[in-house]
Order: sequence, then C-alpha cells, then structure tokens
Amino acid sequence: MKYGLTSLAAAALLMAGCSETTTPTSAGLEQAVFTALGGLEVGEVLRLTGADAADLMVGGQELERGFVFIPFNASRAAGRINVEVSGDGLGQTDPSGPGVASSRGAGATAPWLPNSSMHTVLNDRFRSVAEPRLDSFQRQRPVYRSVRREAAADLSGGNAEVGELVEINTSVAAGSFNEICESFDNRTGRVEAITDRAIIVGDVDNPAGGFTRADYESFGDEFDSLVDPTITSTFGEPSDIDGNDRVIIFFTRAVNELTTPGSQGFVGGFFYSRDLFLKEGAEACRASNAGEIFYILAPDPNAQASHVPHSRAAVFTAALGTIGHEYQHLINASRRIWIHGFSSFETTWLDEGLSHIGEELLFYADANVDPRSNIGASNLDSQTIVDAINRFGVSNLVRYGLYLENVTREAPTQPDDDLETRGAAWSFLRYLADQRAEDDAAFFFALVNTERTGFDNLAAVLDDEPLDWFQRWGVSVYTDDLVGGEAVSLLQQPSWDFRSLLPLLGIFEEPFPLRVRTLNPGQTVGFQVAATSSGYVRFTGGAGEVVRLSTTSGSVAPPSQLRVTVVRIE
Amino acid sequence: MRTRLQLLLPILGCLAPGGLAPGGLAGQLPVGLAAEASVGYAAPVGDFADAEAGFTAEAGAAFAAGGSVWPIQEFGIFGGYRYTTFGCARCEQFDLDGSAVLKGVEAGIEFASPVAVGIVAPRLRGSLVWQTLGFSRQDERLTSGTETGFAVAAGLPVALAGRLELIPWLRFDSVPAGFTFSNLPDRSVDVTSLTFDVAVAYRF
Repeated sequence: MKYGLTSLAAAALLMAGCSETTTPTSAGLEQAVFTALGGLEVGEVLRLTGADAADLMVGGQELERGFVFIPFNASRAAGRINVEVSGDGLGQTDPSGPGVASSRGAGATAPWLPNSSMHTVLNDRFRSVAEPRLDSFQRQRPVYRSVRREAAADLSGGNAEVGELVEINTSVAAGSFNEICESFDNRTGRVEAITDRAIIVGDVDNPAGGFTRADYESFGDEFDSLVDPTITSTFGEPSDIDGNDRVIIFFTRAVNELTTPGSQGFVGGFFYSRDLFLKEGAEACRASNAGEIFYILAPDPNAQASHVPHSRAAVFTAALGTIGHEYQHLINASRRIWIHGFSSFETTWLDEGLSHIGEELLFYADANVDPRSNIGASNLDSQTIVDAINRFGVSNLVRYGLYLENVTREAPTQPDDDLETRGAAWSFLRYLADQRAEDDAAFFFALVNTERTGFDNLAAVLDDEPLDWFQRWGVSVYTDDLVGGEAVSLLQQPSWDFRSLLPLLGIFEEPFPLRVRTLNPGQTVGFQVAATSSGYVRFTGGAGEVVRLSTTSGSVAPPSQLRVTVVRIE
Repeated sequence: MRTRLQLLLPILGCLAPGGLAPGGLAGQLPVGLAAEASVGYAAPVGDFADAEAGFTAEAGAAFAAGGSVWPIQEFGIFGGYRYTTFGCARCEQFDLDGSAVLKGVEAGIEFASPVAVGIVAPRLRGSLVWQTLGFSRQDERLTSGTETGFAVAAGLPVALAGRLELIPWLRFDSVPAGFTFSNLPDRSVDVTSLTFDVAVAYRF
C-alpha cells in the first residue's frame, strides 16, 4: 500500500508538471482572447499604453455595438501630443448618437462670468519674485503670535470702527519684489460693517447705484454664517497677522477697473499674497496691506469703472461665491507662510481648483444637500437648489462646459489657468473626492496644509500616481450619467449630472458641449491632446465584425505618454 | 503536424509513471494497480457550445493517461492527466489558432460493480479536475488560471488478452476557466463537455 500510494503520488506530481504555467503575454494576444471570449460588455473598459495601443481589437459581437476611444496625454509637463486613429471592421456611427455633441472649434466666445484670473496673474507674478525670498523670510520673520501683537494698522487688532475711513493699497503693478513692494494705488474705504469674522469695507469712490450699508451688513452676516464656517472647516483657519480675528473684504472699483476690453470674462475679485508680507522687518514689503484681505467687485450699473456693467442685484448674487473662492486662496497662502512656515505657494492650477471647490462647498451648504447627490435637472424642482446654483454653482458649471467644448486643447493643469482649465480642475478635484468617498474635508484639508505643490501634492495625498486619476476622470467626463451597468463606479461623477444640467444653461452651441469626434469606415481622425486631458472618438463595431483600430502619433508608434481607453457604451 | 507532435509529447511523458510501475509490485502488495490511456471525442455542451455572447466551442479530440490503486476489488483511487482540444471556428477571426486546449490533472475515486451486466461489469468514476483552458497564436499562448472542476464518468470494461482491458467511457466534465488580463476585465468560462473515451487499461 505504501509503495502504491508513493508511486501514485509521484505519478501525479509528474503529471502535474505536464501542465503549463501562465507566462506574460502580449497585449495583442490578451485582446484577441478577450474578444474571442465575448469582448467588452457595456461599461467595461480596455486600457493600453504607448506602443501597446498601436493596434486595438474590440467587437466581434453579433449585433452592432457602440464604443468610445479615449486617448489620454499622460504627461505632467504642459504640451500636446498628436493622435491619429483609423479602423477596420467599423460600422457607421451616427454623429448625433449618444454622447456625440459639438464639433465647435476654437474661438468659442466665453459668456460674461466672473473670472478670478486677476489674482492668478498677480499671484503667479508675485510667486515668481517672492518664493526665492520665502526661505529668508521664514528664517527671520517674527513668531506668528507675536506679529499679531505688533499689528498697528487701522484695521488691525480692535482698531476698526464702522464709519472709519481707511487707506488700502490696491496696486497690482508688475515688477520685481522690491518694485511690487514699493508700488501704491491707495484707495479710500469706509468701514461699512464689522461682524464676528469680517470687516466689510466699501470704496468711497465706488460707482453710483451700489451697495447700501444694509447690503454690506448682509454680506458680513452671511460671511459669518455660511462662508467662514464652510470654508474654514474644510481648508483650515487663515492666519491673523493683523490680529483682528477677521478678514477684510474690500468692495472696490479698483477690481472693476482690472477688466479691460478683450478680457476673458470679468474680474470678480482677487486675493494678493503680497498682503501677507509685513511692512517692516524681514523681507519687508511696504506696499503690503499686512493683513488678511481680499478685493471684490463693486456694482457698476452704468459701466463707469470698466466697459462691463454690473447691476447691484447681479453682484449681490455672485459676490459671496467670489468671496468664498478668494477665501480659499487666502487660507492656502496664509497657512503656508504663517501657520506652517513653508517656503512655497501652491501651483496655480491646483490652487484655483481648490478655490472652485470652495465655491462648490458653499453651494452644498446653501442648498442643504450633500456631495454625491448627482445634482441634475430633476433636482431643479427645488427652489432652494435653484437659488444655490445661481449663487454658487453657475460659474463652475459654465467653466466646466467651456472646458468640454475645447476638451483636447484645454486641460485641468494648464499654466494659463484660463476659465476652461479652472472648470476642469474643479471637476477633477470633485471626482477625486467623490471616488475616495471618505471625508471630503479631510481630503481637501490635506491638499491645502502641505509644503508640497501641484502633482507632488496630489500624489502624496492620493498615495497614488495622479496621472492615473486624470485618465480615469477623463473617461468619466464622457461616461458619467451615460453608461450604466455593473462595476462602473469609476466611470461616474457622483456629485453632478452634467448631461442634464449643462443644456439648461443655454449658452453652448450643443446641449451637452463635450467635443466628440466620430470615426467611420475609411476615415482617419486626427487631433492633438493636451497634457492631463483626453479626447473622445465614437465608433461602431459592425455586426459580427472584429474592429481593429490603428493608433499613431505623428504617423509613428504612440509614445509611452499616450494612453488609450476604449469603453463600450452601448 | 508540428502541433500534433507537440500535443502528443506531454501525453507520452505522462504515461511514463503508470508504465514504470514494477510489474511484480501487485503480487507483493495487498493492492491492485492499473494504468490506462485513452483517446476520445469531446463535445461541448451548454453555454460552452452555444454562448449568447462569448466563446463558442466546437467538438475536438481528447487524450488522457492515468493510473489507479485498488485497495479493495470494487474501489479504486484514480489520478490522471487529460488533454482536450476544442474547435474554435471563430478564433481565426481574432487571429488565434483554431482550437482551445483544456488540460490538466484530475484525481478521484472509481467504483467497479461486482455484478456484471451482460458480459461486462460497469465502472463509475468521479473526480476533481484541475485544468486550464488555453488559446494560442503563432508562438504565444494564453491560459486561464488553474481552477477546480469536476468530472463523472461511466465505463464498460471489456477484457482483452491477458491483463489488458478495453474500456469505453462516457464522461461529463465541468470546469471553470478564469482569465485574468492585465488591461482588461477578468473573464470566466464554464467549460462543460461530454466526452466519449476509448481507454486501454493494464492491470498489474
């Protein structure tokens, strides 16, 4: 018996050795086997990178099936790559089919909406000259708490009084650190309201037809009840170098004057990190207002301060969103400089994205809804939600729509940080928070309270490669609220149903403005894709046909930074 | 032809253990030993033969070899190796070779009826199988992970000369074959088939 079992065991071992072990296989063989096994189901994706993406195989189903080809530019460095795609076995794709929208080209005219690009320009400019000095500043600056005691400006400490006139420097002149810090454009403001968390100042030279004191008091009250708790509970408390326990909100025509003919949108307000430097001592900046302050547009119904009129009602509706936006910038910069003692400012695109998240958080708080509620047209039965969207949501929606119209040329991380970039950055950050589905506030707090910046900041907080997430988000831009099925959570943007909301704005050429190309038999579709962005090409697999797509970049094999996703959408 | 040779080599190799068993061993031990080799015709059944969406197999050849130990006359412990090729008419459409190969080992129990039905005493066999389903093209091969399935079979042994027996077997196999892809979702195929094997067995 012993010998019998031993013999059998030996035989079994030898026979087991006869079976093959699985060895790495080529992407082409995997696709071939996968397609032979039935191919993609609706909502499933194929992802390939670089040369592996040169030849794709999908389809083979008995009936016609719809797919979308999504090339992604996986590069942290700004720039574009060429993509050309053609295919065999294609069926005809209806250009008006699901998800296919605008073929609108470049030069789309942005509607008039707040564009906080001014503080982008200012802070980009200032960052470049101030960051080299931050190390020195951090070594020499007084201890944060002692700064508060030294503050002696008019609005510092407990000095402010309603009705008091104060001089505030609104200069935004360019130049070196020293030139900026010696540049003055003082405006006289009157303290209009003092609340627990804000000092509201109105420029005495603001155009006629503007805010009354009651209006300013209303802003102050809502800053205390809505903006401050919402923004600080997420991003953290700002510094308080002027020791007044408040932020200063200056409604001034100086903001209006920054909008010039040819501007994209209008300047709704800005924060200037110059104001976080002290007037004396280490790296002194005499032009600084040395306090936590931001500058907001004044009503100007007769277009006296710029060529763009702003009714009192319109500014009243939009200003609080702008204040929330600027507040994140103030918190981000002031915590880096004063609370944490870091020597870096956040990269512009991420800083802007976080500020647009700030606006969105005000929407949720005002509408009393939670993120991941997939707010869409069906929610507009609620006047509360409609009002909150009008106050805090419309700008984000419009900016995102503008990005969709120019989706291959624009990207969430572009240095120009135009409206499209900001819309994309906001949507991307929201997607990250939604996909993590953890504590949103903790996620955004971690992004703000770090010495890291940009991609490195994201990578540390995500504990993952951000480019992978830009790619997933790029797929969701197309598939959200369009492609159902199981296991498609990564394909969804849980907080917003853009496909139903954006058409209601009525400002885009196509109801849902995502630029989608179609690939039909005999065609080659070519375009460029900006870094961290994606392109979208719909195609149809003919009945019973295997679709073979050929992808090149500049007529040669795709580089490693080109990643391709194919999603079956129907 | 090259493919056929490649197919036969592992079978011949796997026949060796049974064939190497010492001929006098059974005489020295209180157990019976047997070795068996078979060829057969495997026909897919169920979704494996007619999938609404996905892989549809066609009939193919089956080869097997194994050995058994019989502690008592009616009851044996069986182990073996099987190699089955299923046709795949559509595989060429996907640039794949025209067959899918299911192969691996099995182990189970075998029951020999002490009562003859006519001139033969039926055998029943039940086994667990550990097999992979593989596809190939040119020099590349992709196989599923090894998963556990089962097989049941009924045979009617016919005595040939000396210790040789001829055993026609009718066999049913059910094996899940799970594929893990690096860039695609996982897939699983239920490989179900009926096989008619003709085995030659030698009792030591």
